[in-house]
Amino acid sequence: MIDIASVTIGFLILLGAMTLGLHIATVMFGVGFIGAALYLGWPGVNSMIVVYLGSMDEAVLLQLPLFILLGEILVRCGATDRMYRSLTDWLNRLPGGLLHTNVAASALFSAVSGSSVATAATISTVALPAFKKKSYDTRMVLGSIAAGGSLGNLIPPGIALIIYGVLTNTSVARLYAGGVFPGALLTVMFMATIVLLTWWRPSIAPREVVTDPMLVRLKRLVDLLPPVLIFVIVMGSIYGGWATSTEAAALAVIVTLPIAAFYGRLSIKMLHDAFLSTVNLTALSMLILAGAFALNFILGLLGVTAALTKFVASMNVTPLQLIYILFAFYVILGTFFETLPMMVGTLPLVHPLIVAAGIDPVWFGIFLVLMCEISLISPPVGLTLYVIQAVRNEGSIGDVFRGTIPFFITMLLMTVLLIHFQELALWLPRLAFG
Amino acid sequence: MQASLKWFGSIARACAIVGGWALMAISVATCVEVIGRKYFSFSFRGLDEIGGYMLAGVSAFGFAYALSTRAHMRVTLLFPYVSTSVQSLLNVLATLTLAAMAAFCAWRGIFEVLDAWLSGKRSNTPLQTPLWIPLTVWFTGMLLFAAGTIFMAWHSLSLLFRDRAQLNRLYGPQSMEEEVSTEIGHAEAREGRGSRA
Repeated sequence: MIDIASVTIGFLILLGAMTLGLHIATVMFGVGFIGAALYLGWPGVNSMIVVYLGSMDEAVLLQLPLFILLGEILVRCGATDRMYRSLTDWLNRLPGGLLHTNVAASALFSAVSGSSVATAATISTVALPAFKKKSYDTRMVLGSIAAGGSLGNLIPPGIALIIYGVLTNTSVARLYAGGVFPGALLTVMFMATIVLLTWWRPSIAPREVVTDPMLVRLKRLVDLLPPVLIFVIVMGSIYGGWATSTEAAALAVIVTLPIAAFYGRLSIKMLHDAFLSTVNLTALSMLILAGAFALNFILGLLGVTAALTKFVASMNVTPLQLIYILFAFYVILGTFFETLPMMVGTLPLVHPLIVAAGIDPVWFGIFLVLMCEISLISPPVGLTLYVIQAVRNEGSIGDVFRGTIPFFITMLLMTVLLIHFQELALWLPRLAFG
Repeated sequence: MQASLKWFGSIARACAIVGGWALMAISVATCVEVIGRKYFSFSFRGLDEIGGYMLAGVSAFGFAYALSTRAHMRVTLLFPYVSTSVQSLLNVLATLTLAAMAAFCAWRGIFEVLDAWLSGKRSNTPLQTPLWIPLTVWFTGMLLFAAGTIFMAWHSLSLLFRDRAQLNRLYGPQSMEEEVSTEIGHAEAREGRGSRA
């Protein structure tokens, strides 16, 4: 039906129109519309519109606003500094001290908040004052916050995994299970990076272990409960088999209310603020997603999947080579693009490609989210980095850039591990769902 | 002009808050459903269908709200490298194309709603929802969104010949600085800290 040259031109038009600063949502819709009109005529356009409008009441997508809402309420509980304090109690013995707390606090916090940028903003607001009077290496402090924030999407539940799952018709529950080990491994690798760097250059972090009595520290563990509780409820209800991922999100939303009340933050105003952020983020994602669904549908009708399958077969690349090509492609694209456009802009083409090459879609979802995380901390476009710099409000953004380099390398290493040990992402989903 | 933009913003904001309460309501209902199903073999039946309608409604009104907060995502890669007049042209192009899409969807929406009204169609589910109810809610949101985009497209076009600085300020993509300061403002408000000295 359609040849690979036209597909490539279409893809370049898509990226070009995005670069011109048109709304991402308009571009997705427009490219689908033009493709349908050119190749299929009015009936094609008509059925595309039906898909476009129909995608807006897709019940599985309800989990998107619910997860956003739960994160928005939880970050407004104002418990982050206590959480940070409690983590410090246990992590400050490791070589690297408070740097570990940055990574761990971000990991814990972003696991439930789903937004890496909000995580970075919150953790740096809490953490940076704690470093003011201490002799830590500034760049490492900034880098560890940025790196920690990037764990957000990999550790379930995360918004990126939901979007990938819905767009590619992959089970979100499986993706969540797939993200657990890589997320945990990356956290450990970040911490190992800090330990190694501290051994190599002890001046990075002072050795000052001040520990409070055990009883005090145990008492403070309570402050770690909210994120842990949410994580357990979501994952437990899904894998216990008594809730779908959407229902799990709804349960977690309700559980955040007593938590907010416990911290004295539950109020109508707080809820309304949370609602507004939720609706804002939901709407901008939904408008883009609807366009992506429509575009996907048209590409299917046009036989792009078949064309790509033939193309892959003719190229004679092994799946491994293809993965490395995509790895390079995403790292480069990620330096310019934000997470959401990067995902929805490439998936309509890349997903059929990987399916054709026989790559597991669950594994690829985890891989893609890792690519998105890399894009978040790769300069010059990485909102997280600028947020941290602005909270810091002194020195230059270059410090933040340089501070992320060790962690950036760690993430590349993690990607290589994930590529060669695909079981990391596939073992748990298989165990849970067969 | 500015006043109408403000009006549009506050209407959309009110709708977004109602949408938030709707999400809260569906969460409560889902909790009851999950617990009821597990322990009392009781179920609402069709809750996910209602969830779908709710999502469509929240999205449609949300499109309008996100429009008023300039949140609809754009790639800003090119903007620092081109002159302000090229920027204003790109901004007009963006508002025009967005309006074209929104208007097209609203126009298509009219037929969907009319069809549901006239035929009295019901959903093909145990719930048998009369489809005009969710469709009308959704369509009202789409209409608000379309009206907003058309107004902004026209406004930006007229500014192109009068006041390009204003055009870029109102209809340009959020700059990195703006996004950053919004995020930090939120974080500081959440952690109960004042603005930085």
